[in-house]
Amino acid sequence: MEQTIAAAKAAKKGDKAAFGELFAQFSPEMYRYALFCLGDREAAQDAVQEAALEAYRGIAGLKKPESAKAWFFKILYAVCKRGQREKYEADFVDLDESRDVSAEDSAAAVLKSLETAQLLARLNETDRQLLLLSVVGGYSGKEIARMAGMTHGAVRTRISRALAALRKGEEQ
Amino acid sequence: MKKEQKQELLQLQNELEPLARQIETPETLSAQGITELLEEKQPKRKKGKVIVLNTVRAMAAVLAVAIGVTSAVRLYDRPRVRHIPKAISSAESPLSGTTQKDITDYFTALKAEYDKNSVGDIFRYGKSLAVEDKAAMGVAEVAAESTNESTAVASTNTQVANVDEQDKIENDGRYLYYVMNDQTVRIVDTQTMQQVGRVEPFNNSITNTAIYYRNDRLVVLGVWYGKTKQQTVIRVFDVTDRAAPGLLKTVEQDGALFDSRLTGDRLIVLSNDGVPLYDLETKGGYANYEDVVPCTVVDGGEAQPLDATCITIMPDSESERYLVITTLDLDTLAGGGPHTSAILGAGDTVYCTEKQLFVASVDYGSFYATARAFSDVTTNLYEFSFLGATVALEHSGAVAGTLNNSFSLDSADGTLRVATTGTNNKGKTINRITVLDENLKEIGRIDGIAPGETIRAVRYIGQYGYVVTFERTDPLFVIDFSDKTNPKIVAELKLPGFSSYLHPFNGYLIGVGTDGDEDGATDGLKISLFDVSDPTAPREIDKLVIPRAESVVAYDHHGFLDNSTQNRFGLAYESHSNYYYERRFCTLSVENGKLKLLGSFTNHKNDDGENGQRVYQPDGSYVTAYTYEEGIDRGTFIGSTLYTASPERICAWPFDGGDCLGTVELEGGSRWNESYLSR
Repeated sequence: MEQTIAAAKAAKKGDKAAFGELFAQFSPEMYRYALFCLGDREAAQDAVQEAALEAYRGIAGLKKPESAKAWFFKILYAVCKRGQREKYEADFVDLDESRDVSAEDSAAAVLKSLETAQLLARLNETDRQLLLLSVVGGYSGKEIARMAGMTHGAVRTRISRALAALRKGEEQ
Repeated sequence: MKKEQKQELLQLQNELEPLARQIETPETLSAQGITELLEEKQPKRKKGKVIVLNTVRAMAAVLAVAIGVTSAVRLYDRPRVRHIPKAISSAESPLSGTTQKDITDYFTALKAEYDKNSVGDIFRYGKSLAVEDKAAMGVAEVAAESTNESTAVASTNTQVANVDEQDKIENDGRYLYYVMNDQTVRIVDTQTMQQVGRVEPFNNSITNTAIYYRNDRLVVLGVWYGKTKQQTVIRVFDVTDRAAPGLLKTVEQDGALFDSRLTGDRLIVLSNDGVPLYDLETKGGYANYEDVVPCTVVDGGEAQPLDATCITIMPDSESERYLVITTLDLDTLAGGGPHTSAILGAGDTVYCTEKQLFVASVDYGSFYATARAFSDVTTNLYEFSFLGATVALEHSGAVAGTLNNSFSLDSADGTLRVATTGTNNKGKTINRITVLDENLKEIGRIDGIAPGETIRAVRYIGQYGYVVTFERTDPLFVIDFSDKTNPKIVAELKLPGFSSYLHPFNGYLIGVGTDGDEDGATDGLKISLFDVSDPTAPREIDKLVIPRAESVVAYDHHGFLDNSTQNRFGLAYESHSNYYYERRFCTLSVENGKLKLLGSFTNHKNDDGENGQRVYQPDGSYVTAYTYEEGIDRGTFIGSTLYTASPERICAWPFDGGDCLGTVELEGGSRWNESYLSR
């Protein structure tokens, strides 16, 4: 946390390297979030890069260095929203390459996980984003409401609905 | 959040974990990568790697097909290479009368730079994404195709009258033509409520099928991934005999379809085609002409590379992507065949009037021009004429910021009006109105509109423009364009929630969007009725909110059904009030300044077919679960009968609500029923 605050302060002064350090702490989560939201690896990469640029440009808007992650996610949410498309690709896996999977997860587990992820395609785009802010970003309903410019009640309803739709999708 | 919900979320998180662990963050997003991004101001893209087992790979392929993976969509069209030799890039005017050598020189240089910088990656060409999809203004044509000449018949909701846009459904006054999710087109006779004919897909890989109908001709468009790149297929059928459509012409053009128009008898089809620089073979360092220009195939013949004289290189172009435009006359099928031209520099948004075709292309440029007060992102505008024998580039210009969608543009009174959103040098969003003259040069402007908000909807009506911006509340701005060089904001109306689509309706303005309260947007679908008889004092005189609902019209205006000659309209929407999502349709009327909800329709049938899943009610009875394929895509009407189309069936209803009048089960929906008819 101290490191984050130091990096944030330096970044606000225009230190690009410091910004890079700060942002990169959250890149993996942001990339994962964008990937599940948009379903396309290149689009996810574009989205996170775009968010980084917007964040750097508007770094004056980061009031509390401790909330850097939430602030980045808020920008990423908006970027992903602009990047929504008609058909969700669910392109998580690189079909051209295969290697041994890590020892942590059995093939079956990854497969099951992939099936669940594919069901995300069925969701309404905004609902998917909100759900993923919770599941991947780990944010509370209230935090999500602030990021997305919605009421807490609306967020709760939509997430609840998204979960229901996912379960429905599994049964079918 | 409730405890059960918390547990469910945790469970979902656990379920996604194994896959999440496999996802490797690209190097471009490392600390060094981000710092370099800020330094060079140019995003690089490296191929993301995901480790996967052979079995997982096979399974993924199967699942991908099941979910319906379609053509790739590319978020941004960024210039990838710099330092093109001066001779080509700094021409004063677009090079028309281009020669083959101009083009091969261009790509040889581009490829050399590409190899030197080792920029990225596999390009995946597809539709460049506009923030929102097509939106439209529509006037219901009273087409005299059916037996009763005075019967009102629906037509596609378009932005400009008499300029048709591609859609999933067409209505000729008796027959409905509907694109199914299996990419076939079904032809249904509404008089007998039977399917009478069909058009098969071009091949097994075709997707994104859309159609036009005009005077016994049916145009079917689609996209597929050909040998090395995406291709757009145009087929024209004679459907005089609805039971046996006859293929008249096939045109395949390189690139993925991104939009089309049909005005008069002229069909205009646009695609984005990128030259894969990573894969480009050069001979002795020199590019080969056929490899760097788009090709077309007419009626299954040989692939013909475009002639250099049909290609334009825009000055300062660094793009390897072409905007390919094919025009075709539906009635004569153009003696001499369809004509295709191309311009280097792909497009994102199309706005077309009966005489002019405007294509907008976003240029993300350099991200740090400190001197500029507005966004560094510019939107290039190209104006084409298409009524002559060929498509010709007439003018080009640019505006700062980005468009919301095609409704942000309007051609009127010898000017082009443009509404854009950008960011100021503090990173805050800000909005602007620009007026361009007939050479697309700026003559008037309003800056600094609604800082901190973004444009959600625009509609131009005559000399006035209506602009909706939103962050927490919805100011509806009214702009007076009567003094071309001095556009002025004449009204500002603040409302909760916001409209995503504005529709002129018998002198009123209808807004379709999201309801809101002091905290921002809620999850209700709001339909507003504005009195704009005095544009300097707009008033919301009525509104209707459907709780826990939203409408596809917010990003696809074809979901709006105009029946203004009968004071009625309809919209496709999604209801969330039940346990599941349900895509429904509703109809409304406007009488004496009041909105009235007439009917709400669903194509869900409570039968117990093979795939029917039972949802038990507290009293022991059950209903069968709504399936995704029963979701209504579109509604259309003939006279006072509404037809709602979903992949499984088309249902007929009284427009004002009531019991179902008839159903046509569509084979090849999710349940296959041969000649099933129910009343």
